[in-house]
Amino acid sequence: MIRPRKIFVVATFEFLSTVKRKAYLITTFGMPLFVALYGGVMALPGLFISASGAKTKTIGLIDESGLRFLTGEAAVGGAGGTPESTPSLEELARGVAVPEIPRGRVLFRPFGDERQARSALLGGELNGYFVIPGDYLKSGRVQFYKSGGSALKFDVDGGSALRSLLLERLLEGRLDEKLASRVSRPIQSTETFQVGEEGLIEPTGIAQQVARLVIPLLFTVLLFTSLMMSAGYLIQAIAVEKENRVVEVLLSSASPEEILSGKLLGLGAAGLLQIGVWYGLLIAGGLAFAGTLTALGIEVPWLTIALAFLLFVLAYLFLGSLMLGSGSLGTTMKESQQYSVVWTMLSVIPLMMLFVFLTEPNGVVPKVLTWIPFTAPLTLLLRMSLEPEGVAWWEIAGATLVMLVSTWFGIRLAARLFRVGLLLTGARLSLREIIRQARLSS
Amino acid sequence: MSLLRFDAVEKSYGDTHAVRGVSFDVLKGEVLGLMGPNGAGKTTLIRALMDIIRPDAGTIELFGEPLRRAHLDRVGYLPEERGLYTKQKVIDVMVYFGALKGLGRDGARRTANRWLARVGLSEVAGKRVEQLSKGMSQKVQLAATLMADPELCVLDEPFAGLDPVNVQLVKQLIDERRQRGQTTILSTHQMNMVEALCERVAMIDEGRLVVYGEVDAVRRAHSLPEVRVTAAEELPHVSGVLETRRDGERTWRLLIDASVSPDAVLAMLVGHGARIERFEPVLAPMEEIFVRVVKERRA
Repeated sequence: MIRPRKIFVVATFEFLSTVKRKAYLITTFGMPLFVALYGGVMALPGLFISASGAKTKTIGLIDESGLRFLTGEAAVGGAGGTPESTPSLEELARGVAVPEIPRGRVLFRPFGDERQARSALLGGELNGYFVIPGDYLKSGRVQFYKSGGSALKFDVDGGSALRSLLLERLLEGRLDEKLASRVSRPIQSTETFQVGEEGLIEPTGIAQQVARLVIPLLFTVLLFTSLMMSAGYLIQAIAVEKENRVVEVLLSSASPEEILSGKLLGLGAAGLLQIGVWYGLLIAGGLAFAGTLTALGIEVPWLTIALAFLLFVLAYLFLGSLMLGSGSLGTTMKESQQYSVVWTMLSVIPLMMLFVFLTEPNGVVPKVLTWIPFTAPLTLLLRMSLEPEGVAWWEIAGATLVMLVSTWFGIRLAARLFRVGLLLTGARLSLREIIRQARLSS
Repeated sequence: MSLLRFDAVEKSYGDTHAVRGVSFDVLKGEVLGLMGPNGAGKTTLIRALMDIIRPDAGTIELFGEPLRRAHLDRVGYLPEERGLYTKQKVIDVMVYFGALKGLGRDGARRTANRWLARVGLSEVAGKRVEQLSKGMSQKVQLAATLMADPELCVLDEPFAGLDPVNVQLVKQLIDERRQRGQTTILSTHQMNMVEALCERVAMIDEGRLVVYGEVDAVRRAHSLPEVRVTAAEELPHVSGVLETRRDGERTWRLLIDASVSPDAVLAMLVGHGARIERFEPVLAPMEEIFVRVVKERRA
């Protein structure tokens, strides 16, 4: 018979021991800070490129073709009135996608001959110069001169700006304005719509498409991370007790089932607190940018967040019980972790099959994985995030039931292995003997 | 009155028979010495009592009933392979162990402080276990075992690693338990402690019970027929005495023929005019009995 009071005592001790640890506090509150910093560092190169792109580059142009591409200085791209401009939030929300990435501004300056242009380049007045040869119309060849450095982006920008300039000038007066505009830019923008099962049509913008991919991944990764961390605490707790030789004293005061249940609850509560802090910070961040998110048409997936908490509890109880059992067979922390890795591998299957989920979130494979206790948590979370309308309520209820029943069996198995694990202190038993002792301890 | 009964208990691991049909009683209020060479099966027997392992056969009765988990709240256990949570504060560990034995949180804290004072460690209550010396740690473990005032206490090598002063303290604590009518099983290799503290002994060897009974009776049963005599002058030679050895200035040890009683020898000595001041049977020390029994069994 399991005594709740004993479970409560063990759970309280494990919870307080864990939440007071420096490592726990650093991970819980430092992880969001680290992610924010990491995101910032990852965004820095983009910002630098963007900043450098925003600068006006001056490029010389020597036109030997006689086509009079340039009569005076001309600006192309950037804020200089080119058609490529950054889409507004409303446009993004409506599904308006601009086909070309906005570029930096390029100022073309005409030169009479190459000598003058070269002198200006060496004097630092130019970032480079183009020569349009006399046979350009026939050959389509141009020459570009620059002075040192790896100016890949500059070359691309310069080439792209020159292309726009030449196209505009070549079509000028030969086609009417609208047709010329379409020839130079056949697709100005693309609007995307989502057709629901009942025929309801809704616009789907880039932001929503990205959000539909990023949010489930974010929640899944957070769930998985906190799951693995909490399970890690469990294995650590068992290993520490074996190494400190406390386990025998504990077993003289409480049954293996009571100890394991207490550990599961105490460390699970610590894990839940951790995931609560992470999700809380994520939601707080979401609320801080609520206006932007609303403008982008991104809704906070409250149902998925609530489900994530439920799934964390279920997944933790089930996987935790198995990890406790297999972990207690190890004689050291390292050995315990090695024995427990099989459960991690099984639970990570949905992430390994992410492509299948992204292609068909409610296809046969995800539906089957929903009913397997190892894969159910991540599967359900991915399905709920990617295509919630395809998940039936009875699938959630059924998977919950499967996991609860599996947890019950998991704890019973773990308790038996826990007893056997004690016998393995300093001795090795054969697999056959482990099974025999596990049967005896029932 | 029997407090604990092992009845034909057996346990094996693979091909190793750790305990083979062991049966004995532990009486209420006594200190029973559980002896045996390393690997004899003592720890297996104790673990079976603490429901840590389940016997393959046989039964264990505690407090007059078949062993149940609930009984163990009334049993204290200091295992040989013992330790504490090294990163925790001493007081927190003791409160935890006390709470596991059924003490309320506040009650456990009060009791823990009282026991720390009893073993002279009040000042370490707020320290982390890893900051304690080995001896201090030993005393904290003992205090944690005794703090719930268990009716039965199993102490496996409680003197290991203690200095003579602390050995005296532990002896005193065991003696106090006896005076309160509480029962203690003392598993130790220190035979002098068994002689000093235990009323009865049970010796296990190769999984079997090989010696069991009152300490004096066991010592008599396993001693040679020898007496120590203190007399004012040289002893006369009397029949029935096989060998006489001087054991001091006025003390002799006489090895007696097994068919002759010591009383008859005393009567003959007095009859021959010897002025006897002291006449006592020589009991073999427990250590000698232990070694002899084990050697005989191995032979």
